[in-house]
Amino acid sequence: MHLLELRDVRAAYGNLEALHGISLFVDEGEIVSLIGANGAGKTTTLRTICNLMSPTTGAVLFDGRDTRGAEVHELVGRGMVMVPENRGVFARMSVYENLLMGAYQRNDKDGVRADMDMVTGLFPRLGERMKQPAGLLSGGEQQMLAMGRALMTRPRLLLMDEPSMGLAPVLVDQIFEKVADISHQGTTILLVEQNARRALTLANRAYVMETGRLTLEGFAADLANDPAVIEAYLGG
Amino acid sequence: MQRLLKQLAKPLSQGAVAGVLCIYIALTGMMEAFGEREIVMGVLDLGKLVLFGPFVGLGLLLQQQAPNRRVGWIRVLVACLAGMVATGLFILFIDAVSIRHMFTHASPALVAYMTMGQDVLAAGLGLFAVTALGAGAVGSGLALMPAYLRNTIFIAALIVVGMALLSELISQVLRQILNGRPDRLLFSQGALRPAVAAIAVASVFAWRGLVPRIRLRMQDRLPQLEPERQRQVSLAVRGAGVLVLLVLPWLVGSYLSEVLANVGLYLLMALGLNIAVGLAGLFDLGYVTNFAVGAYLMGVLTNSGPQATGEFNFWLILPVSILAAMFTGLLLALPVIRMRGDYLAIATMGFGEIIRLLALSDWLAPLIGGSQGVLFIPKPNIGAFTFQTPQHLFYIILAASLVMLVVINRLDLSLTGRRWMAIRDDETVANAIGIDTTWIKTLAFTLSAASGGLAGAIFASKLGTIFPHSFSLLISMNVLCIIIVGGMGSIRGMVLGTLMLIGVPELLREFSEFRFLLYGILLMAVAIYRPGGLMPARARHYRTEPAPQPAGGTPAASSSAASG
Repeated sequence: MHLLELRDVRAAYGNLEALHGISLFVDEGEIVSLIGANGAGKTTTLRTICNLMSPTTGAVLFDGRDTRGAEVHELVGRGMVMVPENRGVFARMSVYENLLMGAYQRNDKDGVRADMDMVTGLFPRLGERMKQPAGLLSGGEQQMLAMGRALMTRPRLLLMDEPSMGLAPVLVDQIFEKVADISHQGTTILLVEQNARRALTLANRAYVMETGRLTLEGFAADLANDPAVIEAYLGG
Repeated sequence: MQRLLKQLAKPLSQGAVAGVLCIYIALTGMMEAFGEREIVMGVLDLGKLVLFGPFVGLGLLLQQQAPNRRVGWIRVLVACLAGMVATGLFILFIDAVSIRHMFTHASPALVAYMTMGQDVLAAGLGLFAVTALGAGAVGSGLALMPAYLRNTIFIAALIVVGMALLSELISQVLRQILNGRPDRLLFSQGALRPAVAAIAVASVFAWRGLVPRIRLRMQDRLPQLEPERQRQVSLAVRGAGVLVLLVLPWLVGSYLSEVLANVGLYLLMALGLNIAVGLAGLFDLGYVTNFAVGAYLMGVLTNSGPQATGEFNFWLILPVSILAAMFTGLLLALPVIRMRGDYLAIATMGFGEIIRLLALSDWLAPLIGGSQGVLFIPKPNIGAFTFQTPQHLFYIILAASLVMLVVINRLDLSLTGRRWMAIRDDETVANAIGIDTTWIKTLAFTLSAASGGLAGAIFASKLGTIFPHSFSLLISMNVLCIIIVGGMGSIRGMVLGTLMLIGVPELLREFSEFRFLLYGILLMAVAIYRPGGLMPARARHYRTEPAPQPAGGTPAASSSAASG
């Protein structure tokens, strides 16, 4: 059984269909990346997976169960969490409070504290800045905070939306290293990314998306050598 | 030539604006009305302040913005001339042509006032011109002096004007403390006696001269205070504050107690609405709904008039009113919980109107009196003691406000408070990381309603009668204004905002018709200069620990161990 499976999912904004039948799966322990140009429907796919939008037809299965009708926060409780695009940290709260927000549904105080240590171990910069308002962090640090906050929910599946967006190349390297670290700790990751080269280096498998459809899929290493992919996404 | 004009365009236009402002103030009748209100006896009246204030402002502004002193003086001169010409032409115009059929205030009396009572018009205009230029020069002088001195002068001016405007309040308090008419030493018909004004100014200067030294001394000592000691000091300050509040109604007398009671009721509502608007970011424009539910429940269940239903006791119905308001809040939250921003504001505004129309309707009239209202609502009592006068009622409202202050303060610091703030900052993200936004928003509406119901219940009992027209949209607006002016999410801001918007207008009631003009100016000034409110929410996000933990290190400490 796949951890996450999409079966012919269609989704629309009003009358405008954005996803024309998406089928994909993510297995436990994998890093799967979804690459594609602007407007291909990558973010819409993520929004549909975590029920911020409902599919018009088709089904999203998480851990074998259809997510139809589940509230967004219920899915978080089941172990699926999204790191939103543009990070979306709560600017007026401290780093600590932001992290605490991630542990909203949990009652195990010791577990929360242990995870807080785990997050600050993974991102020492956050540990140094616990007391600062999140709005004063740099872009890279905010991305780390958004990831840390998501990890505080103790997810089985982490959905990441464009973690490299708007960051300097050196920071992008750091962020991708952290994604690999998170994966090593046993969290499954579905990564949506425009930076196809890096995404394909990191991922086990990948899907290529174009105007609401999946056009290619396969092992990341194979895709990285696919002439069509090189032509379209890796800049020849 | 063109360059010169370009250089002078700004001062010319600003001067003209100042002139137009003068004309506007004159035509609305403010100048004459204010002219009758003396600030310092025989020296200065409020009208002159309004007439020449813009010129001082011009001088200050233009001199401050000028690259150097010479340019500054030229600009000020040009601007003052422009303002004078505009105002002077206006004076000449209303002296020659009667436009009283359109502007009733454009009378010979106004001309006489603006030309300072000179018999010959030319002499009057000359005097006006000289004074206006002088005012501009004073403004420029203020701009050129050191900031500390300038601020001292501003404070002194503010204190003198404030003392004169609040003369009634000051007199009342003095009369309560001392025997006889001590206020006669200070005031004459509300105006400060010149000697008193001089003493006040001198004291401000003396105080401002001493402050830097005192502060230096304090800085040496403050860090030495141990946390235990600091807590004691802050407790003592709070105790003193409560003590002052306890004797306040007897100091200020019956009328001002009534004002304070109204301030308290609005404070209760502001604290409640602040949960929805300030903390959770839900723009609720129908807050009057909760107020009305509380008031009507109290009215209907305790009154002994035509709508008598049970004639229960105030204290029994008080919690019932709160619960009913919370239930209404919950009910109203259900349909609108998915709406955001403007749409939410419009929908909730609709609720406010619905409740008013329901109260007015013939359909519910047998139960709640329709347009006849509910009459004969008894005052609260404990045994044989009845809270009859405004002073008595003040204590009930004070107690309610203090309780709500504590509750809201706890909520503000709680995890729930943080969840509200998360929703306010970004609802989608809050939801995406697992916060049940529906429930948390519903909770905000429900808790927010409680305080409104409490205020309404006390309001009904305090007034003794309630009518549907008491529950207009204006109440929702006023409460929202308090929150915006005070500072969203800031509890101290609520207190200050209520005093400014509900209390001060009552004190300035001698300017009845112009009061709301000041109100509007204040709102605009806050929006422009202090967009976060007078007292923005303090940066409370620096807290790292929700509460001291019995065992184990703090997260920050243990994390540094883990990472290091």
